Amino acid sequence: MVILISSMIGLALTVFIMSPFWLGEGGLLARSSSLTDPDKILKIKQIIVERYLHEEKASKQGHITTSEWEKRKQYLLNRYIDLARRYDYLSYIKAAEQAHQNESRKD
Amino acid sequence: MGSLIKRLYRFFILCTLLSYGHSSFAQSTASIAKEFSALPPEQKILFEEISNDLRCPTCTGLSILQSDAAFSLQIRQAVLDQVKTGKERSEIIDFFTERYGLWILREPPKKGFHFLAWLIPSLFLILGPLLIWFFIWRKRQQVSTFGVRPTSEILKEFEEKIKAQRKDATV
Repeated sequence: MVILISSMIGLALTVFIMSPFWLGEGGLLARSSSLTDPDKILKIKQIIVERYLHEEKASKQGHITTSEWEKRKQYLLNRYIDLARRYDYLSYIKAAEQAHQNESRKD
Repeated sequence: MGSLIKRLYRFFILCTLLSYGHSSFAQSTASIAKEFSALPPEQKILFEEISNDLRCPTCTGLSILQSDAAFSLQIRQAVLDQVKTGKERSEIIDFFTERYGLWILREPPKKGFHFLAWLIPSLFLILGPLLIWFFIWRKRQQVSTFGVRPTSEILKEFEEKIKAQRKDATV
């Protein structure tokens, strides 16, 4: 009985700890980690550029402090780099698959 | 009683030998210093230069000028005698290299075959970094990044997009 209760508690705790990967605001973590569509990546890259300019404007107008702007700037740059790398990798894989298919068709 | 006398006798012999060694060492250093102080200034410089170029045979990495070993004192005395006779620097150096070989010099001569001892390390110093860079660069070329660009290129792309977006906003 004790084993059953403790394993149920353990399972509940595990689900609770892992929940941000599926739940939360729009399930952002789960979505971003499984983003494999190059078109979507390009759109998000564009959104990050726009967000950068928006935050920059807010900083210039004094709506956010310089340190806050620096933090947001670094965050947006890091996200952009992540997405650009993923896009590069996916493009490479796609090109490699295409080349493999073309070769197999020739054979 | 007999063993005590033997021990006292040995102690006496040891003290005599030590005092003799110390007094002879002190005498030789004192005489060299005295003779050195009597030299004209240019001979003093010559003596110091030559003594600094000759290796102490019983020490590690010291010249005969820096060492007070018995052998060094003998060589220093010989250098002093030669300097006093008015010999040139090259003549004195040749005198010692003929007797002890090139080993007595602290630096290899900068001529003939021995010049290689100066040239090869210098070449390694200049060419080494170039060779390392060349081989690492070649290796870097062989590693596949699976199409992922370096971060600097991505940041450049980001800056260009920001500039373009700003232009659009102003137009």
